[in-house]
Amino acid sequence: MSRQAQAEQAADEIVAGLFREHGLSLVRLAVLLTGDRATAEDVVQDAFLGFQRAWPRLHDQDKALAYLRASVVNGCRSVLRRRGRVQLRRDEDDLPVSSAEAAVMAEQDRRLVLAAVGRLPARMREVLALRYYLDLPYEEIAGLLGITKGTVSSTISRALATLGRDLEEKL
Amino acid sequence: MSSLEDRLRDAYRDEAGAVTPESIFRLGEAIAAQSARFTRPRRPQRWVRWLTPLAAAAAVAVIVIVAAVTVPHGTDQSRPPATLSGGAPKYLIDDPIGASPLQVRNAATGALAAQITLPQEYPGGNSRTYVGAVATGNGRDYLLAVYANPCRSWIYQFTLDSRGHPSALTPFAALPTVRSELYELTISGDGQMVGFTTTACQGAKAQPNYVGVTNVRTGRTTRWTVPSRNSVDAVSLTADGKQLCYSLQLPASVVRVIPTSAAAGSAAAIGRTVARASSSRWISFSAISADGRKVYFSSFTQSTSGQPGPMTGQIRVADLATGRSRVVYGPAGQPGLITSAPGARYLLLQIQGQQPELGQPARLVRLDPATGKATDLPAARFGRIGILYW
Repeated sequence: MSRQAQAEQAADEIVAGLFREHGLSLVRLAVLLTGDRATAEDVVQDAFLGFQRAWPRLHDQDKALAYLRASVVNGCRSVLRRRGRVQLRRDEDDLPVSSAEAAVMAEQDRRLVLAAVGRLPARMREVLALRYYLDLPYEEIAGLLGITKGTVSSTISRALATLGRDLEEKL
Repeated sequence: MSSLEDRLRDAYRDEAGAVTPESIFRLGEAIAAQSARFTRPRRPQRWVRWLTPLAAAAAVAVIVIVAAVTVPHGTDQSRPPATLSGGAPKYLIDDPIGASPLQVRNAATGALAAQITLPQEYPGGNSRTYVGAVATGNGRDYLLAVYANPCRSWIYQFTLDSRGHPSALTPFAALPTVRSELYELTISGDGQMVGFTTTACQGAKAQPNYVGVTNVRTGRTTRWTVPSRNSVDAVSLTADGKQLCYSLQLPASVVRVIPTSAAAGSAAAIGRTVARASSSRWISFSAISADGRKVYFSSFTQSTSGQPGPMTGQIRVADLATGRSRVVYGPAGQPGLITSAPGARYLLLQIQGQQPELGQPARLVRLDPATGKATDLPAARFGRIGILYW
């Protein structure tokens, strides 16, 4: 087997391994950012294929996951540019009547929160999802989005303040 | 930790939990299959490699020549615009993955005509780049904005020939760069005015969003501020560049029109609101007609199932003289991507099937908003569609 063929096979195996390990969390992240399962899968698929193309050029190949996360965030942003935030807005009143009261309240709260998140600007939504879904530290979010740690902190603060006000108005 | 943070974590956890490991099995298979089919760059034959230095020298010469060309001019008779019968541009630009390369496709058949590769390096930027926006005023001369971290957009111009082949990308002399994330871009039909919207860079403290115009002839830029809590989703210009239309999200969806001769200041204090979504609807798209008499806009309803989609949507037209609006087109299914040909002569809508999870394919529809006539395009031939620019 030639050196090039070996490199190609290695890249295929790396992509497969990364998907096994991180595919689920990346699809979930994309769902949170787009609100649309089919779109999320498209974005993740494109991210992996783009990653495979870029793999030989990556300066730091230990940062494969960071690259994929950034691709997913960018991909979601691109999709939402034209689609607006339509899928992120949930109906806030339609609840299953057969559920237990506590479950109904929890479900209602979840919908209220997600609807309020859907009304935030894209950058705030991205930072919130990376922080409160993936539990990434500020440094990592900053590296992922190409912004400073201080900006991550201030963006989260502003997002939470906006979210709090929005949710209060809904009560 | 505040209770709000707890609620946020809970909401994310529950929402994300709906995606199970089993449910992405097919996606893994698809990625594996596609990566196996992926065509890797082949080592060029010796004579091609030998020609490379010559080609590079020729490219430099082309760039120097093309840089002297000014953008978009509708009265230029030497190169007739490539249009379909009826005046729709023959080609559109697809941004399938939010990065290089872009694809030039035949707007009627979906056939791939060419690809546009973005520049690789940006002064002061890093490799994290993506296409900000693409715009044309005549279906032939294009502007393309590329965002490169940290906080700068670069604007290029290029031309499509009658076969859909692009010229070299050259810096757009009237507005080569913007210290912000350029979000939307448009050109007037006469090619003399460029409209844009920008969103605040994360590094800037309390930076507002902007709606702005640049006069191509004088290079003068005027910007109007929009609060950062409002996102600006669409921008368009009349053919003469005298009116600029944009839509705003939050707290309510509205479409506004402002005169481009207005002095810089707050966008809210200038112009007028021409359409407003009711409480259960919102507007994600708008485009003003070439003559400035009408504004076309989308109007979506929210999901009533509590799950993402299905939703319904309409394309409506507002008569700016009377202030009244009416439905132009109300498709079954979930309208997603909407894009406009110059002057809103035609709209292109991607409409998701009502049950995409069952494999119901998306439709791609070309709409003549003046008549309401919708024509289905061969969506499958367009391949994976990202953002379409027309």
